[in-house]
Amino acid sequence: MTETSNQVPDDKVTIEIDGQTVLADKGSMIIHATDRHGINVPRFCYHEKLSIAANCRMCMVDVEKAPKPLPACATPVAEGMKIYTRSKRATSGQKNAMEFLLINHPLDCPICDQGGECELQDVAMGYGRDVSRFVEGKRSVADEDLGSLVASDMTRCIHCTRCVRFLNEIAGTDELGGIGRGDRTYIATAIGQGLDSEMSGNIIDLCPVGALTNKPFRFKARAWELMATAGLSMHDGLGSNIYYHTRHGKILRAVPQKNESINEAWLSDRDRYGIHGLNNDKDRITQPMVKKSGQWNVISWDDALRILADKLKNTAPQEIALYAGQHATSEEYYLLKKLFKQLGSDQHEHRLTHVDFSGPYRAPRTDVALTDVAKQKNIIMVGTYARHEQPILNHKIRQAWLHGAQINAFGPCHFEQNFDLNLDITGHQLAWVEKLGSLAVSLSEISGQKPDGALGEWLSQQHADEDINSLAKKLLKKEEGALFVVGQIANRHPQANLINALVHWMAALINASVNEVVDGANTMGAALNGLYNDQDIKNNDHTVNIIYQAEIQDFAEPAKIKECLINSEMTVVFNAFCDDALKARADLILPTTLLPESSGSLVNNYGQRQTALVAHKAPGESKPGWRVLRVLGNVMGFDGFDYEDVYELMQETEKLKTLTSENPVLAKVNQLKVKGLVLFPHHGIYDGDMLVRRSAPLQESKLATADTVYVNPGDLVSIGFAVGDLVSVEQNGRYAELTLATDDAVPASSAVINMGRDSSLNINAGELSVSIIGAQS
Amino acid sequence: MFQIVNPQNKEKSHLHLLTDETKATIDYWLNKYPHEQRRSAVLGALHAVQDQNIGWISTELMSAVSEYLDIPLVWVREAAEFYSMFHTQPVGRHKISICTNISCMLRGSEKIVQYAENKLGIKLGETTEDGRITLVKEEECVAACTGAPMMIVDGHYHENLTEQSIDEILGGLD
Ligand code: SF4
Ligand code: FES
Ligand code: FES
Repeated sequence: MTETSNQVPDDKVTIEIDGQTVLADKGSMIIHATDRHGINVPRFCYHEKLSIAANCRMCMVDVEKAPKPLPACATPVAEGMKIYTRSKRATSGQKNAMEFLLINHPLDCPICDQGGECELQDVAMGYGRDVSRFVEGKRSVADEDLGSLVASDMTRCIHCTRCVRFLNEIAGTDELGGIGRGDRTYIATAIGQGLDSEMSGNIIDLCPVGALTNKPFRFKARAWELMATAGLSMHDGLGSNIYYHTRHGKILRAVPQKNESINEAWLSDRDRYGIHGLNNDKDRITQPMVKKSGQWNVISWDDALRILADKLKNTAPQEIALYAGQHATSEEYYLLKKLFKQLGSDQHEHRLTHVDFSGPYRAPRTDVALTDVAKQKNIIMVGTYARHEQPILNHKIRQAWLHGAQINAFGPCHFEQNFDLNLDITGHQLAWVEKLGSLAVSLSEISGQKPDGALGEWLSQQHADEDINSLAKKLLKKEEGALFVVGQIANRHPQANLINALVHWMAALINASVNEVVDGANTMGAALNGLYNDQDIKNNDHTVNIIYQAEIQDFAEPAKIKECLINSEMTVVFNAFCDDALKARADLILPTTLLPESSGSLVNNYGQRQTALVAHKAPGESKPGWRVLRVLGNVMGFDGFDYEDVYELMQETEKLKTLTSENPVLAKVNQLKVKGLVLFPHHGIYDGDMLVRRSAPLQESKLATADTVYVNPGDLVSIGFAVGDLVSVEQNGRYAELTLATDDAVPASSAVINMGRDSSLNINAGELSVSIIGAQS
Repeated sequence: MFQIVNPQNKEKSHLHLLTDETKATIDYWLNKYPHEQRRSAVLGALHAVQDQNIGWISTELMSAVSEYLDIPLVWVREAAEFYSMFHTQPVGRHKISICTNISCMLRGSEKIVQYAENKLGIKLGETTEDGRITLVKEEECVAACTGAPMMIVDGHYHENLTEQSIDEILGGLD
């Protein structure tokens, strides 16, 4: 089709690139047009997701009537512009830029980790000279220790500033900068403090040369030895798209796979380095094992499944309970549900991270698609540290903020954010919920509307707050809409039902949307398959407990589940890992594989169903969970367990209905009395699942937590211990040995304990009263 | 400002290092810019802390500036390391910057540098043992080309330098 000028829309201009007439957006750069039309222009500093710096000068193109070659990334298109990307003038501009870039760049590709996948190497092959004219010495730059995730070889840096711009614009943490000037400029952190960002690994992908590389992957393999397998992250509810790079069936590293609707071009560090937990042999189960008079014996799969089937057959159905972790595949959940239906038991639960089971089960509500979070004008974060819960969600919130959104937060602590908060309302676990109540009180007073029932009664005891009142007024104008993001701190709260009821009532009043942040990669899949119960099944006695792809650390109430397991006759663990804490309470262990080792589908927080393929060879006799369940179903003599392969199963899980979220039912408010300090059970970014807990690079990084209890400095005197003291934290007669620390960000009367760690296995998130006493040992 | 991380990874505040006078100067500069552009006050702030700290800016002071302005520390360091008027290492009581840019170079600045170096017994970038004089590492053109060769002593321009005038100027410093 030929385009004539009278058809050109207002926002477009007609330009000609290498003789081809194309339309380009007004105000866009030449490189946008060449990229859209698949015309290759070499570049180093330009990146479609970052601002334009135009400092490498590699993208020179020849523009008719211009006196000299122009950088394509920084030259806006104009009507009638004629551009030549391969003319003599263009290529000589590119060649000259290349020669300048190579003046100080070492020519030692064979010993560089980036060799074989280096943009500089690739472009130099095309544009560089075979022999360098440069005989003078090259400069060298001292390397910096950037932490356990990113390795640096700063001598190789070509000062494109992509890393600087990423950390400024996307991560919002600004750790790197250009220090010095002229030919002595180098890229460094301010004081050698390393990288703090939860997204820091992305600078590895962005760096066009070998200056920033993947530290745990360093010198492990060459790019051409690797195979790429498309996979999904199992560490948060987004299912970020990943390419696993494998060699001989072993994952060596993870890189992002572009998906504009989820992770764009990024990966959080958790998604990038979580896989290193897979290669950690500690606690890895490779063969079925049974405990006989306190001793573990290896047995065959046949025997193991026969033992289990016998036990199941001889146990009353309601005596059998299932606790399913939240990152298994939908296919496994599907078979588990089938199994339990035919057993006749409804004692199954996937919400291991919940403690408030006071209302009937309700599916998480997500009104706003992930990409649209960035378009919100008002965001109210309720009990969430999105930055650690779903780093990519936080990235979208930050994008919204960059575009002028107002962000407010209610929670148990002043979390460090990479955007400004309008209000950061904090208080101990009970107090911040009351502050959220203050928002509802203001909304209620101004609008004249009142919730009824238990919520109305509770609200009548709450008070308005001056600061919060202004927010209520703004929200009631309803002009810009609002989004409540209810997070994992709320999920784990003993008044979760109250929080949800409050948020739903407010959202209905002001026409706001609600997004609830789920805890696991496939919480939605487990919910779709109905693996829940209206009550807390931990309160019922069971003879047989099945723990499926979970560890005790995954429970919000580890102490409580330990009790349950001890009091049962048999505990069966289906998992890839089994640590001592679980082994002590297990009787039968079946080695099943984790996500990168098995195929299946996941449904993310936003209802997107995605599939992943096997990327990693599981050790020993481990088997994918769906296979084990299939055989178990058959041994039990149940119907409908004859699947040839996982694809056949996937066809069935694909047909599962989507979830509809009901309004919370609040029959009665959990009125809680606290003695001593109020617990805030904090979940560190790298304490959330069995892989990140075992990933050495993540555990050595700056965001890793410690065996610490944090209090407000003002409470130190009444506690009677000093910072750094080893103390015992007592909760209902159970103790956790922790180091005492203080932080202004912790509200008064609060005690913050890092959950998901061995040191907190005696602490239940739901019991808020704790006290700090002298060390027991 | 909080991430519940290992306590040993937490950075300490350096705000207390700023004197009231320095804070007042920084406030003066902050007032000139809208809040979103407070980064612009970094030069004024760096001058203030440099004056407060006998002529040089320590990393702790950079941290203090970054905290006070509420901007990333690396922005402060970028500015401090970019400009030759800021010193990030201890300096002498007097700072001498000899211009070596093109006009001064054509008018013999290399000889001037050599003479000053020999006289003081130090190289560019170094400080005399008695802590009296620092020869600033480099100085770009300061727009005094008509009086080349030239140097700046503690902020004052001295032009048309000769060996004799250098003797006089250096001799007059305490
Ligand atoms: S380290 Fe890499 S990304 Fe950063 S400026 Fe240097 S070459 Fe560019
Ligand atoms: S890509 Fe255009 S100047 Fe670097
Ligand atoms: S070159 Fe020395 S002042 Fe201009």
